[in-house]
Parts: sequence; structure tokens; C-alpha cells
Amino acid sequence: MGGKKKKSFIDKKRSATFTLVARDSASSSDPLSSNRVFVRTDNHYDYSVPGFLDSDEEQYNRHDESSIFADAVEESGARYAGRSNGSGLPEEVRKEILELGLPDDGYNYLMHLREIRNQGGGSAYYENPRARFNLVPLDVKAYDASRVRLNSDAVKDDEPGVDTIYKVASKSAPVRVQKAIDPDVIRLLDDSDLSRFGSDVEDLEEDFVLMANQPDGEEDENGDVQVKNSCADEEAVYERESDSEVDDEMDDVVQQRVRRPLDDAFDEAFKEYLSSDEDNGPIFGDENQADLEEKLKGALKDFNLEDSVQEEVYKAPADSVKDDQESAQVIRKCTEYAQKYLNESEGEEREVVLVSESSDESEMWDCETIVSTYSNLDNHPAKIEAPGNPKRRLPPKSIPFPGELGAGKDVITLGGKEMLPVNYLPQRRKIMEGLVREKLGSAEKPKKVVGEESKEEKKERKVALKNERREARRAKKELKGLYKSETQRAQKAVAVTGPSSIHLM
Amino acid sequence: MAAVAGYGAMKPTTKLGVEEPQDQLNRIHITLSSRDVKSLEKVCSDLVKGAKDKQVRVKGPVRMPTKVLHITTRKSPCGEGTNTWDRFELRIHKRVIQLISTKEVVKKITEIKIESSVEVDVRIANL
Repeated sequence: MGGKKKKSFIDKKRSATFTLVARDSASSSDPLSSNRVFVRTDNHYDYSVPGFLDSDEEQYNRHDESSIFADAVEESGARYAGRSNGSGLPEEVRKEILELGLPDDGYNYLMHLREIRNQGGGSAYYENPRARFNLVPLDVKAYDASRVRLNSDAVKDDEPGVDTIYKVASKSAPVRVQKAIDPDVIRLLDDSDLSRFGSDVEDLEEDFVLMANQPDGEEDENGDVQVKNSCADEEAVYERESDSEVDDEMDDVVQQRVRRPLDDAFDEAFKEYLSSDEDNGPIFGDENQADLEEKLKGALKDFNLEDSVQEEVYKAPADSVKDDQESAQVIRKCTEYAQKYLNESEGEEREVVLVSESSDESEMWDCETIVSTYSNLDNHPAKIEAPGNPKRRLPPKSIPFPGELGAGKDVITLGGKEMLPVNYLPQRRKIMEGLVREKLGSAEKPKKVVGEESKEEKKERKVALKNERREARRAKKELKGLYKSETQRAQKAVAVTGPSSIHLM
Repeated sequence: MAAVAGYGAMKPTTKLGVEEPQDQLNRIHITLSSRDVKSLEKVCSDLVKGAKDKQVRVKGPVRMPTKVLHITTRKSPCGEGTNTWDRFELRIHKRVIQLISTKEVVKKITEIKIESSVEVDVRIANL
């Protein structure tokens, strides 16, 4: 590049810089001013821009004399905070504080007040074009007053439809009104039979006692009542008769009841009782005592139903039944029926179902029996065979590889996408051993039956096998070293595509 | 400085017939930066439109290169699993508008509604 810097549009050292920041407090602000104000951010106080900020921004920017830091020692030391009045606040501020009811102690409480504006806190009013405000909200119940007839003097009566409420209402608006009736009220209005409120017991009237003792004209109603309450009535009658001298009216009431034979007997007895004034007390030391005993014993003899009390041997009531009584006959008949039934059942030929219990110890099951008890729906028995030789995935050595046909043994054929040698990758130990065996040219010994081998031959065989294995391992290691780069490439490819469990190295 | 003064001195002589405005002309350099391109472009276009309406010399909006702040972290909260990475970025767009006019006009222009996501820096220098 070289050369001097391009002339900049504005010289930083001779300019005033302002930043738009959020308004911190609402110290003299009106709702129309924005949330953000320009605040001077540089320190070149000698360059002043008088006209840029508006009045409240300037107030925001200037250092308030009545702030709590006003009397702190200032760094420039240039300004002196002069106080005009005692409390230190301008008059308008004081007035406003007093208006709000806050104490007038020289502290500017207005600093802590915040104007409620639309942009505060993100809770702005969003105009929803689909809002419907003509519905009456649920906490207000609206009643349909369109049919209300007015009666007051305010209504002139010469016009026909003038007593409706529309004439009087200052403002009427069409409002969709929800039915303002409680569901309980609806239910009560519909419920005409009122069966829920009736009582279950309807036999007795409320004042059956009084009604029972009413005059003749109402006896028919009280007929059934009388039967139930005969005891109460009798008591009432008894009381009234004793007070008969006092209550003459009650006598008539009593006598108008239907007289029963018991009533007559009672009356007689009562008269006798009243009339007989002799002393009928007990007589002591009388000869009649013996007679009395006999009389007592004989008194109840007629009423003797059973002699069971006098016997000493305990007997069940059924046993002590005599033949001439009804219960005896019933019992006899019952026994006859029972015996008849029993004889009937014995006579018939019935199958005896013998269910033999099977216990686990006594049973001896064998496989055939068990298997035969299962049905072939669930059970698919197969013929058990001897297990075959495993690892027959590769075709036997006799079948040549497809790539091997045209090539001799000295040519290493490359095949596949990666152009790797076809037969030379370390795949199978056995195959490797086979290869090694071919290389070494060891003749395969004829397979002898195991039992006929002698010890030396067995040893030889085992040693040969060991050698083969050793060679195979060495060959494998060699091959691994030869083709390490190929395996690295293969691993890279596998790492991107396949799962991470494949390890090639 | 001399170049600036020279420029300033040259100005009244170029337009002879035109009455020189009484107020002092200022150079005003407005920098707008935001993470949100849409609101930023809207504010820019509003400002430029307002300035053009008032026949104020305006240069801009000059688009500064966007600064992209990258944060690349592992997705996994533990160390297990395939090593996947999240790439987060924060884009800051900056526009510059330069005006030459009086302060009152500038105040009128900047009295537009600016969205809160846009940051405004104003630098004023006398001509």
C-alpha cells in the first residue's frame, strides 16, 4: 500500500459521539418520547453540540444536581452544587411529590416512579383483527329487557309503543345475550309433579291423635287410624272416665265410639271395683290355705298342653310329640316322604363314575407316551440327526475360484473394487495350512483309523501338524506386512461407511 | 486537518447563486449495527429515505463486511459416541450512513422508530 491514510469523513478527535441507549429512568418524560435516548459516549467535553439532543435527553445527560452523588467530591472540581432552597429540590418536583402523598424530605422520590407506557417490558397491545367484543362476558349476566313495560310518569301514554324500554334507554346496542337462567331454576320450573319433595310415608297424617278423637262425622276417615292407635285411645278413654265429673263433654265423645265386648266387661269390673268398699285384704292363718294350694294347682290344669315340664328325662320336642297332635302327623308324613324318595333313588341303575386320582410318584412316563399325548398342532417332532461338520461356508477346495481358471499358479490375480489379490488375504487358518501344505509338498498320509495308529506315527503326525501351523503363522505375518498399506486404505473406507466395530488392522 | 478545512472552505464558493444556509453544517456519521439483517435494512432505508426527502446530502448505506463469530463445540455432553460437532455462529451486520446537514434536520431524520435490536452510533463533527 504505502502512502498516507485516506482522508476520513469525520475526525474522531474533534467530534462528539452519541449512542442510542435504553432510557434508564423516567425522570421527566412523557409518553410520547421513545424508550431510547442519545447519550454522549465520548469525553471531549470541549466540543459541545448544543442542538442535537432534545430537552429531556439533555436532562438525562446532564448531571442532576439533586442526585445522591451531587455533593460528592467531583473529579474536575469545576462545578459547585449550589442549593437554592432548603430542601434542595426544584419547586415543581416538590409539588409533584406532595401531590402524590410522599413526604417532603428533600429526597426526589420521583426517581423511583415509572411511567406506564406501551413499550415497557414487551407487553404491548396487539390488535387482533379477529377478536369479537360484542359478546357479553360470562361474569356479567344480561337479561333481555326488550319486553319490559314502563309505568312511570316519565312515559307519555298517548303513544302506543311508548312504554317499552327503548324509549327511555339512553343508548341501546345490539348484544348477543346468553340465556341468564340458572340450570337449577330451569329444572325446578320443568319439574311439575314435584315427586321429589313428597314423603315416603303417607299412611299417617300429621295429627292423627286429634283426628282420631273427633266427632262422628269424621269417623270414616279415622277408621283405619283407630285400629292402629287403639292403645292410645284406650288410655285416653281411661283418663277421661276418671275425670268424668269434671268433663261432661268428653263423656259424650267417649261414648260415641263403637262398643266392644271388652268395653262392657271393663265397665262392669270397674263398677264392681268402685262399688265394693269392703276390705278384701289377705287373711292370715286361715284354714283355706290348703284349699288355696289345691285351687292354684288345679287352676292351670285345664290349660295344660304338654307334660314336658314334669318329666325328668330330657327329650327333644320332636320326640315328645304325641300321636294325636297335628305336629306329630306332619312329622310322620315328612319321614314317609323322605323314605320314599330314598327308596326311589336306590332302585334306579346309576353309573358309577370312578375318577382315579393320579399321583406323580405312581406314574411312570416314557418319552413315547409323553410325546403321544401332545397333539401335532403344537408339537412337530423331527428326526434327530447327528450334527454335521461346521464351517462349510466356503466351497471345498476342489471347486476352483472363478478367478483362478485362466491363470497359473505364479500369477497373482487381482480382483474386486480395491484390486486386492484374490487368494492371498489371510482368511482361514485351515486354508492357509492347506496352502502351506501344498508349498511344502508334503504328501498327505493315508488316513488311518485312530485305533490302529502306533505311538510313533501319532507323534510324527502331531509334529507335522505343528510345523504346518508354524509355517502358516509365519506366512500370515509376512503377508500382513506386505499389504499393510492396502489394509490401511480399507480401514479408512470402512471407518467412513461401515460401523466402527470392524477392525482390519 | 488541512484537507478537511480546505474542503470546508471550498464549499461556499461552489454554489454562488444559492443562498448559504444560515445554520452550521455538520458532518454526521451514523453507524448502525445489528444481528438482524431485516430490521437493520429497514432502519437504513428509512433513514436514507428521510434524508432524501429533506434534500440532505447522504452517502450510504455502506455495508461493512459481516462479522461472523463462530463457536464450535462437541455435540455430546460426554465423550462417548461418534465425534460430531456443532457449529454455531453469530452474525453482526454493520451499515454506515454519512450525512452533511444541520443538526435540526438530522434530529428530524433520526426521530424515526428504530427497532430495539438495532444499535445506533452517531458521530457529529463541525464542518
